[in-house]
Amino acid sequence: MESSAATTTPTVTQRDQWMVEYQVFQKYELFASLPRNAKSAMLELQRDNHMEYLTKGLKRLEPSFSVLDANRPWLCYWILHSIALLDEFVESELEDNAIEFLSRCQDPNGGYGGGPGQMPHLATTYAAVNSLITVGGEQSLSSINREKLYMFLRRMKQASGAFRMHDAGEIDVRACYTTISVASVLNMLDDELVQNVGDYILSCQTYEGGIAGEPGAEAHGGYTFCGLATMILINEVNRLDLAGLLDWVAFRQGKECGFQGRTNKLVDSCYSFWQGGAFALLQRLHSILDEQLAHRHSRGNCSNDSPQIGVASDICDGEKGGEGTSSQVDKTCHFMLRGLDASRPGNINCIGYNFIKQPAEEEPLFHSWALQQYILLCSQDLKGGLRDKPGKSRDYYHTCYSLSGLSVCQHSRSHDEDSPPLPSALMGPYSNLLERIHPLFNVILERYYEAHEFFAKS
Amino acid sequence: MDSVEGKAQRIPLRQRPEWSDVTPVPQDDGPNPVVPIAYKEDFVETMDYFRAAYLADERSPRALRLTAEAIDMNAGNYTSPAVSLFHSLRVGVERLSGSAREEMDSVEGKAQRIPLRQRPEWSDVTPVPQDDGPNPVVPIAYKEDFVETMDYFRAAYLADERSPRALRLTAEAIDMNAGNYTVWHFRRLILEALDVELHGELDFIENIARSNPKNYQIWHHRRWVAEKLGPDATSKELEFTKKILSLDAKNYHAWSHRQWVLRALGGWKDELDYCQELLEEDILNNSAWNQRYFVVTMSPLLGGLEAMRESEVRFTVEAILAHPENESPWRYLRGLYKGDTQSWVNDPQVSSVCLRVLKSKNNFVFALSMLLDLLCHGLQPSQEFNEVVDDLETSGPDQPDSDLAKTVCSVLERVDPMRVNYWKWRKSRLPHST
Repeated sequence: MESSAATTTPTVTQRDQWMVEYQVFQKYELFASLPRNAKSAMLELQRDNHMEYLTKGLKRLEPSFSVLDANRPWLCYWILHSIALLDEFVESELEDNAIEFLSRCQDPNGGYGGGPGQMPHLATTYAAVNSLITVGGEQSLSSINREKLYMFLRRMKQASGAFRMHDAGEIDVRACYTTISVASVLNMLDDELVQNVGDYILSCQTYEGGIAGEPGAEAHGGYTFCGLATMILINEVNRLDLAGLLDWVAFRQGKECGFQGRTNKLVDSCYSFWQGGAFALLQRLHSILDEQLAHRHSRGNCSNDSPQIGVASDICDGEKGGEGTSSQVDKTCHFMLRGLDASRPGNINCIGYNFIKQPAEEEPLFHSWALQQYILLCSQDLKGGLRDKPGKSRDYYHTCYSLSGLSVCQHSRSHDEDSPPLPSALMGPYSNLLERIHPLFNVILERYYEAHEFFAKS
Repeated sequence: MDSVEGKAQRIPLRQRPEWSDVTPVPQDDGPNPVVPIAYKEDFVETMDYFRAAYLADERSPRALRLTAEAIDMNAGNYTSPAVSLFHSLRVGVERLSGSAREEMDSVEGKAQRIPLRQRPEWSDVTPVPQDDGPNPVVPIAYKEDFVETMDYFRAAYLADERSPRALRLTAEAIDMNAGNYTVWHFRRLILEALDVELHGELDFIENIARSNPKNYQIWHHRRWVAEKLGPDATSKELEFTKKILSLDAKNYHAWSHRQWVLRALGGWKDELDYCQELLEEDILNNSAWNQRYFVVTMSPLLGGLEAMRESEVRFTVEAILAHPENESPWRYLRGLYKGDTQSWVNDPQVSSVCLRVLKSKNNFVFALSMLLDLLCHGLQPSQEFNEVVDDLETSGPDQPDSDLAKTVCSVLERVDPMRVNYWKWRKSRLPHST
């Protein structure tokens, strides 16, 4: 039965896949053939070159970047976050310029547009807020007009629970994530914003186990991260089929060692974060996973078809169990607060904080070493910047998400923030170590704490 | 004189009195061109008249209007890579190459661009520069044309000028950066205000989409137009997505749009056949599998998942046996029993396909993985399963796992090392006495 494959001409998927495998394995073979010292040189993160590439982008972008003219806060975030991951500094003048520039992208009625004078957009709002958190400090954080931003978020809210990207814009899982992420970090998440979001995300989990951009579409790494992170932040993650999601995401790491975004698609370094980040989140969800599995087994080994309701009621005291779509959100953060401060009624805005304070219960379930190998050997451009895959050019987007993924790998075995990674957790020299991120928001953990504290007072 | 009105109910150039003195010049493609494009008639005619004017170097008002029409039809040659949160952001990296012919046409078209400040129709407008401040970060070294177009766009946008000239201006701005959602949004406001006939808008989008197939704004705009047109647009939308999918059968936006069309406007009749066709071309196309699932579960013509299960299982099992290394049909097979795990566990077709693949001893990771899931859900394995799995467990006799699920995990740890942590975790979470 296998012989039929050999006799027919390869399909497009096979042909593309083989070409990429060839290029990737060439890199690995070359690496394997090198003497020891050359090997370690190849595994080194080219910090200086990356910094040069990143700083250059802050100061000037070629005319070809005109196609990203509606994404300048994204460019800020990709660059500033990459620099912060490298634990390098931006001249304070440049930081001031960034704050000043992003203020010009802020709409008088709230939210940030893709450039000065453009309509506010949820994705660029997320990018701008994350940029300002990354810059940090009073001046930066106070430049965000929270009250107006909240009005913008409410304006984007749809009856279905989901959000539009901008006035009359498209509705999808990205819009949910960017809204909830921003609202959570700015300490303004509330029932009105959260209402029915969980129903929408749930309707996007596909038969494959991953999450799609819209109901009916294909499971996809980017949307899976967005959907999973959203569900955690609104304290409804137990409604997802986490075992199915984990199984799907586990199979996205291929023999090239990096992650693909969808079943039978090509490896791409940006999924080092979108899929690797999902693992970092799942690593702290094991008690819920176990409860889902236990529930499955206790039902006579027969079904995991709708574990959500049962588990939800187990965990949230039935407050939103079973009664359908218009459930009020349980604001007491039961599972997040468990063992931390169970006496104090929880605030939904504290979930992001409690989530990361809680130590990881398990080892990462992806292959961290393999992923580091892909990022360092296949996606790193030795002249600075990182790329999608061999044969592609570097760009800021892939630089940001490859480095974010690399940070996830390096810190995946340190169960809490006080234990720095062991050298054995890092591929390459210890100088490759990147700053730790908060995987729900993808900002540097320390900067997240600063922002959390700052906005808690607001 | 307006390209808007021209588009709305485009009058062929050969029927316009002002062009009656001109003989169009056809494209010299030769008898057997490579990368030939099946141009639309309007496109051919416009370019034929353009060529005539260009060769005659006729620098007249009517030629100016003609260039606008030509640019309008072939906007966006220069790649505007998609702009998004993830997968489609490839900055200045992937120039989605149009054909050489398109490039040439657009070069000619672009060469003719007359600065807005020199166009009489814009003489009453003061352009509004971008408020970038004295020391912007991520400053883009825009080309002069880009700056000028956006400055006039800002003027029109701030004045909320919903006019034909403003509509034309949005086309020019979109041509330069199809990712500018503000421009698209304003264009929709104008289209509504002017009550423009929207079939022409579909052509406009198609021209832009040819070079920007992964751009959120284009697809959102397309959905907006199709929604306005209603069921009349169904077949055109299905054709359009088909065309885009013929270039990239996994284009996420195209699939989303197609699903929206089916749900909102209908057109389900041939959809299963279409999935079939795509899967015959490429059985590894997971997007086509996903679409198949969408059709089987959502089509009002098919009776739902349960009614379709029998025939779908047969099709899927066949696909698995032909390519057991193909993950898509395995996941699809599981999906066919969504909401009915008991049937999945008890269906002999499911255990039989696992068994057959395991017996082949080739590409059996997905078969083992499914067997593990079946065991976790209560499958009572036959002796045959025990034997075939024991056969795969080569690590020696000192592994007396009487528990089949445990043995399955051990084999998976060995043969699927990329997921070794995952399989170990699965092993640690097996239900008691599987």
